[in-house]
Amino acid sequence: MSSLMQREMSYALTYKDVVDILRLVRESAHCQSFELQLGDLKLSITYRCASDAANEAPRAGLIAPPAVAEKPERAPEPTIGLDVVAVRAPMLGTFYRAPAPGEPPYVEVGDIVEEGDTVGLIDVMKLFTQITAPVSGRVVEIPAENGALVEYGQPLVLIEPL
Amino acid sequence: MVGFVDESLRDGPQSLWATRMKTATMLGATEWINRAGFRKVCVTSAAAFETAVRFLRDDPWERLRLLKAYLPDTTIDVLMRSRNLFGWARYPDEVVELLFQCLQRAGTDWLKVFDGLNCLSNIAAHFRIARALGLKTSGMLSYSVSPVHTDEHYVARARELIGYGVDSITLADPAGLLTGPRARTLLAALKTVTQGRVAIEFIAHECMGLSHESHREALLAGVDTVATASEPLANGESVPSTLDILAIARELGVPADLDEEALRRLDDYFHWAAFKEGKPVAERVAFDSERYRKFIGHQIPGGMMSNFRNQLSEVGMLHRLDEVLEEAARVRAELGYPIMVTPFSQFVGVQATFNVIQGERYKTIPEELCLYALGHYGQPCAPMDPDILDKILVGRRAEAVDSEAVFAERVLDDFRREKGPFRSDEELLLHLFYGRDHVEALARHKSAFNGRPSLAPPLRALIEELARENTLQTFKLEKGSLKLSLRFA
Repeated sequence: MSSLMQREMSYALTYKDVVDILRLVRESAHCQSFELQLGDLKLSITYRCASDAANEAPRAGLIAPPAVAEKPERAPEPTIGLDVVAVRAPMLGTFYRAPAPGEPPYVEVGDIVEEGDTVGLIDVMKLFTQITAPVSGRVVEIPAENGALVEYGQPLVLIEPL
Repeated sequence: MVGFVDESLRDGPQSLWATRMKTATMLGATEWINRAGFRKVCVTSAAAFETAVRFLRDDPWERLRLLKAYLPDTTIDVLMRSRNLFGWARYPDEVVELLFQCLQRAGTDWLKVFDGLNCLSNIAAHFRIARALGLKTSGMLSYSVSPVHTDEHYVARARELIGYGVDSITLADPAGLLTGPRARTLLAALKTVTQGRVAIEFIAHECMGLSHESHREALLAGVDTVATASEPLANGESVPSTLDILAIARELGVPADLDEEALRRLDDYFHWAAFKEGKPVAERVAFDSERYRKFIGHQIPGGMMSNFRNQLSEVGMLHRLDEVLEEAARVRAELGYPIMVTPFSQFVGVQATFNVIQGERYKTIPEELCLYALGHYGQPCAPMDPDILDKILVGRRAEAVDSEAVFAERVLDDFRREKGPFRSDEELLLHLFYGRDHVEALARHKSAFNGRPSLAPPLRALIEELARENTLQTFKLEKGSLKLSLRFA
């Protein structure tokens, strides 16, 4: 009998009701007062004046500031000489200089590469794509850091054609 | 009689909460889940395991044991992705066996196994190994709309699964593409193969707004189980809600043995959990024929679409999204219509984006796509377009890869020697799937549990929350016999 009583009592107010009420409380926080009558539910709220509330620091968790999208900081564009070819990122992704952690990089500054040689990897949505040299030549600079988030079109490796 | 498979702890969070449901939240639901009378309860998957380790810092093995302990009358079901198991590489049979042993020890009764190409030679060993351990298995076939995903395709695959000794066949519709009429013909075709000797289970997502009509047909066709979730974890990109499908079953006169009171309490609990976790609650989807027509071309899953928009907006090309999606439809056809689930949806999506951004098709090609073209993942659903195959493999050693070579490899002894010792096989598997860094971080920051977390009753929960609001002066509530009046200092 007591368990049946309990069941009825707990149903006087459900969690769903509580969630709905709290949503209303928060969404009408800019009002002075709020009255609602719906079926057997009666709700009546008054809010503090704006000046009262302003004197108080907002309590944590009330309204989270909008999340700022993580954006890679744009690396300054390196000066690229006329006689140098830049290998650029084909898409936004993570740049890697070596085939796997702990392995030597594909290329170092000063290396001679052939057209089509792999000079790095880019990870786009968990898929790895090889970055290849568009020309044969000497690697003169590697402006992108290993493991860095790189933007579309950002120069990764500079090659001086031979 | 139709059985219900509960997906509130697995598919619901995976489809709606980016898999971020904590062990504590799950445990809070166990009292009602255990009482509800589900045929099975699906509790984890590759995504859930990885997210538990990497983001939630919940020990996924401990989670399984706790769930088993608090769901004593429940049959526990686990979803398994092909050879990837709970990781990303393709693993040999000995890893399959070790994982299944550990899952069984942690309380698993059933495994449902799928392969994104419906290439079943990839998973034949899973059924053999599971059966030898005494686990029940379901072979899962994923539905897609394409010229090759015909009744004949599914009939042939179902026959193959029955040959592997599965206990049931699950027809899965991950993108919610099955219309009522198509569900009817497809299930009728499957029944000609199973002949009532092998159970047919059904799981379909609501994404397109078709899940109620496909379930109606599934119930009429007499499927053995349907998969649903508690309402706050249902609908949208998830499966339909248990009470909705139960109502359809009642209307059709299909008996179901569920405790409705427990289901309502479960819904109510998850409404609170979603609110406290700041998670959205999805709605029923209205069917839109134009949206459906556009979607069946590319079938990029909802979860990937946001990533896609990000990529394109970074490049300042968000206005060309439609073009990329049209290109994705072409790429999907050229690759032989893989089912658009991990990892194949990434292959199609990333390649289509490269093609559009670079203004030249297949100029840049991800490594994994080359492996796919070489047969590393098994047999594509349809042969690849030969011109595209040439383009992908140009300048590469075009050696076909034997997709089955990995099956018999021995990797565990070397792994133990190089990376061990490990305190347990469970720990070894976490290291194998996610790497040392994540496992060590898990050990350092692991959530601790002292039994099932207690939850304040609704009225007290309300008062506690109101006390945290700093905007309130007075608060009055009347409902039924309840009268509450608060004045804040």
